[in-house]
Amino acid sequence: MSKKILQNKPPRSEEVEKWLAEQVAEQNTRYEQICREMNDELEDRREQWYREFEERIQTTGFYWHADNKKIIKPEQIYPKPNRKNKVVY
Amino acid sequence: MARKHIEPFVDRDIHFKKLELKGIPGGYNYKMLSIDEDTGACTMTVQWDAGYRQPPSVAYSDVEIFIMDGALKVGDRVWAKGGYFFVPRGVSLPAFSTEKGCFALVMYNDTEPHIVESDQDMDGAEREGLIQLATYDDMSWQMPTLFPQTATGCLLKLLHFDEKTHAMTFLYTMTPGFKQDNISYHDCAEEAYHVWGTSWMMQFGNLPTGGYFWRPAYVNHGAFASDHGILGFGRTDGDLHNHFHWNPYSNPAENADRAAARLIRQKPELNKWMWTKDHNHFDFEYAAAYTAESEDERVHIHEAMHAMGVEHDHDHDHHHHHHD
Repeated sequence: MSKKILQNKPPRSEEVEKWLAEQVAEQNTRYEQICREMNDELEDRREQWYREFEERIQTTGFYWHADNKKIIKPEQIYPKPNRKNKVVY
Repeated sequence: MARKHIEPFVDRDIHFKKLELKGIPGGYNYKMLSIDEDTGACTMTVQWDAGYRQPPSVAYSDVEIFIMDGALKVGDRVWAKGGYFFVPRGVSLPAFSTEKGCFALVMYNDTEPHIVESDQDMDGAEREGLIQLATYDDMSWQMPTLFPQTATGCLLKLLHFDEKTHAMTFLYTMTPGFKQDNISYHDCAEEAYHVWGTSWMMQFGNLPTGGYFWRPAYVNHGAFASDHGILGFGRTDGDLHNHFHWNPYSNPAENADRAAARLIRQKPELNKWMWTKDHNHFDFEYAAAYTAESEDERVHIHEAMHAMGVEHDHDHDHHHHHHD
């Protein structure tokens, strides 16, 4: 029933459309900044974190459920693909 | 949901703005954390000024409020920090006010922010879905009961759970010294805000107090750690299954493929059924709410309703075959 309430919402006023456009524009700017900071500027440091993670899961273990862990073998470590590593999409 | 992947964002880095839209009383200040470009659905940190008063109101959207500091008088009751409200579409919220100011998270789940002054529920409003909780005082921390589960030291308080979609709203905490050496992703979008404390994720680094993310489905996150612990507010838009793995380089498409392959492996009969032709996965439990994408699908679903004797209305304009 409550979907009908949503369907009954009056159209947005010009004022609201303008406000929404401003919010979306600000979000787009923020998103571009986050992409730069995360995908580019943090990349080298993150690669180091990946190596440390891979070291830990081969020694103290990979958490497969709660505190249950298993040791990952060296041959089970995934190779780095020949493409840029992104973390924000 | 058309929200950008905002991760991480720290709201302490920007200033409050006045929310100056028709019908919104003065003294309503906001920081936009994320917004759906199409619907205007959004998550904001809000500072209501001392003396702010809002008349009894309804909205065309589900609305969630979580009080992080100060106090809010709603009707006759004063709610302190930890107060949580889930207000379904069309349900009237009593007048509310704050004497000394109030800092909160406010979420409009279906539309841009708006207030319609009214002390009456709209027709069709589901008042039984109204939730009001004193989450700090009246609720205990629970161990998550998912499989696979997060590591010991990650605890939950479940605030809202949609039985239909399994979308949920929750408080979560990581105890001091928490660590979890795996990478996770989910089949749903996930959103969180740090009420207090700093945690670390291998992809994004430290997320401090005021830290926020809106993360689409299938995006890698983790390993995880927190030196001093955190208190967070989180939401999902669907079932929260932890797909754990240790490949830091997989992308969302590859993660979705892996999730699908796991479903085929772990639920082969369901997978076979889903691919069976000439039926439409009709859910008799939610017959009234079913929305079909095509005329053909509508006809099949309507026939299934008749076959099962499920009550339904006929306020649609298509032709269908009745079973005798």
